[in-house]
Parts: sequence; structure tokens; C-alpha cells
Amino acid sequence: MKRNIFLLCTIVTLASCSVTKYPLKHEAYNKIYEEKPLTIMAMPPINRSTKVEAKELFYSSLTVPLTQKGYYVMPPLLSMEILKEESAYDAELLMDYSMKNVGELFGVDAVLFTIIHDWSKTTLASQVRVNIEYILKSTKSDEILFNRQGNITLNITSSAGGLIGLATSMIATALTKEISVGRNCNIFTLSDIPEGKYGPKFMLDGEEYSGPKEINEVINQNY
Amino acid sequence: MKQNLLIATIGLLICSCTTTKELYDWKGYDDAVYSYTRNRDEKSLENIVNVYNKLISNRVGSRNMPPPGICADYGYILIENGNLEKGKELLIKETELYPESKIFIDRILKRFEN
Repeated sequence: MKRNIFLLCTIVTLASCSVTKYPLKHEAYNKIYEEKPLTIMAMPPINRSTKVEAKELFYSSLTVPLTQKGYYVMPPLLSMEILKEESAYDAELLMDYSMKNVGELFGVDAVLFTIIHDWSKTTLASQVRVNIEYILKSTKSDEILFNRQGNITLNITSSAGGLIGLATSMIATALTKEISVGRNCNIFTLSDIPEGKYGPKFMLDGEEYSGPKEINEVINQNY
Repeated sequence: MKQNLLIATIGLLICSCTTTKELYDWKGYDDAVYSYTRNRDEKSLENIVNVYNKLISNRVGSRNMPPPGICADYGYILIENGNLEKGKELLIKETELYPESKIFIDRILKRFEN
């Protein structure tokens, strides 16, 4: 019995051990622990890819992962409308300036810039690839609080047989996979951010290890 | 040996079965908001309104609250479609649920003051 308990404990310990390659979160994101931002406004994405629709495809999926990490994200549809009115739709023009005015105007602690470096697909291989950079900038100090890059490839495999099956599947899922890859990139890349005020680990995750600066993932999806 | 294997399996199962309930339920939101942003037609409006209503009433997440921004965006859509009173109510509800949204939402509400 004792031997069994020992064996069980060893397995639990081994399984919970993580590789200690990167700095602790309170070192990697010390400004977040210092400033404790709660409210975030996502700016319209900066699109440097050749895909025209990328901006629209991507913006609506930024809110969910940040709220699940305990932050308050400004309502996206309303924000987009106001940003357009304030001539702030082109976020690239704002990125290098102080965010203090934006903070006061909208009552936000931080602003999230996203740069879509690549959003492309290969029809033959049924792959969609995105490369997106996330920069969270403080409106209090103008410091960069979080800066990570996600490099996500989505592999589509068809569950229907033969060429007809593949073609049908590709048409049916064309839109879904385009949305899916953007969402996955947000989820993977933003998962490293320390938890915000509403998260159960708020100010308690500083001793956890942070992830890499560039996140590379290949996701396989079967339709 | 067999017993050890069973214990090892149970150990691994314990480790992998972490029941981390999410803070909010966002089911159906991404598709609905994307479709509404893209099409802005009657069908996508009806769909997003249904999703908003579900997210406000079915509080499945661990915080037992509508997700941040939902009441505000729903209110904004209603105002855009001519339902000013209910729209304003929802904007105010957002500030009650999330007081940190007040600076932003009050600026919007001011536009509709007589």
C-alpha cells in the first residue's frame, strides 16, 4: 500500500513539473504586477498582411480570451464606432504616441495593439497561417506591459472521402477556418498574460513560469 | 504489475483532469459578432440579439455574471436600430455590473440627453 502511495505521488509530481526555461511571470511582466491594469481597449488591428479582410476577421475575436483572464475589455462594437469617430481607426498612426489622452478619454488602464504580420493560406495543403504580434501599452506610464508574437498554422483535414468530399468540405469550412485560426492565435498567445482583477489567480501567478516570446503552434482540425 | 499500471493511470488522470471553469460563458458570441460585423443584415441582427440575451440570462461561468461589454454592445445595437430606451437601460446596466466602464459609457449616454 505504502509503495502504491509513493508511486502515485511520484507520478503526480512528475506530471506537474514544468520546464524552467523562461523567467517567472513577475519578472517577465513586472509592469503588470506593478500597475495592475483592469480595463483594456483593443485598438483596430494593424494589418501588414496582404489579406484585406484580416482586420475585420480578427478584431471581433480579441475580447474573449482577455476577459477569461480576468480583465475588463471595452465593448468591441461600441469602441470600434467611437474610435472611427475619433479618427483613431488607423492604429498605426497612434502606436508611437503617448496613450495618456486615450486613457483619460475612455477610462482605460491599457491599450492593446495588434499587428497582423502574415495571414495567408495554401490551398493545396489546406493550411492557414497567421503571424500576429500583441503589444499591451499602459495609458498611465506608456510602458509596454506585454509583448508577444503568435505564429499559428491551422491544418485542415477532411473527414469526407474523395475529391468531392474534400471540395465540399473546403467550401463549407472556408470561413470557419479563417476565423478559427485568428481565435486560436489569440488564445495561445494571450494565455501567458498574468491574470487580471477578476481572475482567481490575480496577483498570485507571479511565481509561475512565463512562456516564450514567440509562440509557435500547429493545430490540426478535422471537418 | 497490473496494479501498478492501474495506479499510474489513475495518477495521470488526476493530473490531466483539472476542472478549471472559465470566468464567463461566451458560447456562440464569436460567430454572431463576426457575422453581424460583416453582414449587418436582419438575419445576423436577430442572431446576435439571441446570443446577447442568452449570455445575459444563462450565467454559466464561475463569476455568474454576463461577460464584460455584452450589455453595452447590446444596448448600442438596440439604439442603432431605433430602440433608444431599452438601449440606454442596457448601457446603464453595464456600468452597474462593471463600474470601471462608467467613464466610457457615460460619454455615450450624454449624447442621448435632451
